[in-house]
Amino acid sequence: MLYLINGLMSMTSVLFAVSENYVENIKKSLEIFWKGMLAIFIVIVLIVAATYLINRFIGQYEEKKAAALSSPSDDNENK
Amino acid sequence: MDFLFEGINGLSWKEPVMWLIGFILIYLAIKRDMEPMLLLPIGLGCILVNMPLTNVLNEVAADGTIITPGILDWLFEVGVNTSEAMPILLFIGIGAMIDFGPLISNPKLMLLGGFAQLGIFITILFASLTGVFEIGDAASIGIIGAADGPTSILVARALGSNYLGAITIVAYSYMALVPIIQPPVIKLVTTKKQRLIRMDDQIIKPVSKTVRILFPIVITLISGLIAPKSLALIGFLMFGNLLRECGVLNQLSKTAQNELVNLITLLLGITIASQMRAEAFLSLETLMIVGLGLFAFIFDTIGGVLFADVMNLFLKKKINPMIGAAGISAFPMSARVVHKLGRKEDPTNYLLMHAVGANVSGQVASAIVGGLIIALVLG
Repeated sequence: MLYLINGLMSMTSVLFAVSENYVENIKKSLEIFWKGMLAIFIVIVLIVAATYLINRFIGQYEEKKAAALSSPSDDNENK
Repeated sequence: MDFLFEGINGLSWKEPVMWLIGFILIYLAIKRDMEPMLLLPIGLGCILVNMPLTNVLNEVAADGTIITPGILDWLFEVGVNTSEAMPILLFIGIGAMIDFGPLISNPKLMLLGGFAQLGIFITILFASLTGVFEIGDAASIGIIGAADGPTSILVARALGSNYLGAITIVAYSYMALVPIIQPPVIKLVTTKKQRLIRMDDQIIKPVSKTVRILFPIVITLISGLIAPKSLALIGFLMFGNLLRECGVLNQLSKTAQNELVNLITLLLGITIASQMRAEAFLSLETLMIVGLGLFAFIFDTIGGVLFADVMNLFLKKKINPMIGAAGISAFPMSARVVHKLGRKEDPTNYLLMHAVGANVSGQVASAIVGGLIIALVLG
């Protein structure tokens, strides 16, 4: 009878350990889910913002450069 | 004369099953033209490593010491196990092939690439829910949804997954099956009216050389600072792209796109096959990985399309939600699938360049997610 009780207790503790491990895995995967999606969203937003800024400032710079290059020849024509 | 029969005597039922799997992969590569650059070497490698008592794999003593090194184990040790060299170097060539122009001219498409990685995280959760896989293996299975071979290999190796061979096969096989997997899923989550949305008014503006040069550098900096574990992949991807865009290294760019990619692909396939030993591969877990991999691809597609719908709530110029499906990293196949679906609904609707923009963003996003997952699991 004692052996039976010992056996049942060992099985229960193994099951408990297994289920505890299972719950830990689920918790970890949920953590990875929300942290991962948030992190990728943050990185992507930063990249999008940086790309918009590069496009805008380089675009403005190149427009000014093109305008500066074309204006001396306009002056010469007027003369 | 007993030595003539040593190999045959060493066979069990498992090895011929693996030979059959190898034959199937070779058949798919040659007859069906499914990712032949990877599936053919993997197929033949699968046959090689499942022959008993050969010198293809390490000959190991009972205490684990290597008596005679084998070529495939050596290739795996040097090319993948030590520093993930092969997949990372492959990214130089991939970066050199990518034109980020459509993405740079419409940066909001990057969001679609990000949300099309949803399937990865959902699959990690589901793999854990099965109770069969530990978190490292579950995360390695989830990364199949990255739809990118090198990223899958790198993450599975970094997390010490026991299923590297199965994960690689499944990842490459589903990448080749994108034209079959994606269309029904896209139709399921979109209406006909949504599929008919035109994007002609959203012109792809030309992008200056300066911006094309700055873009890879900026991405490298942002990814390296926010997701440091992704820098090996992103950094080398952007290095390849910089070779392409700088305009002064055309020879190196061509070498990266051709010789480098071909050489590494040639060796990577047969090297990965070293993980396809019968005792590890023939298991219920492999079958589950096949199912979970499909799950990942389906939810990637759904994630990208549904996020496009969310974006349309805020945009004056609507985007066709189908291009969200192109946010997975299967480049350029996914972009072509979306374009084809768009033309099926309306033969005058050209979505290709917009889909390519979303597709290349998926390439970047999947590499970043790979690094994030490594950091989240190991951290």
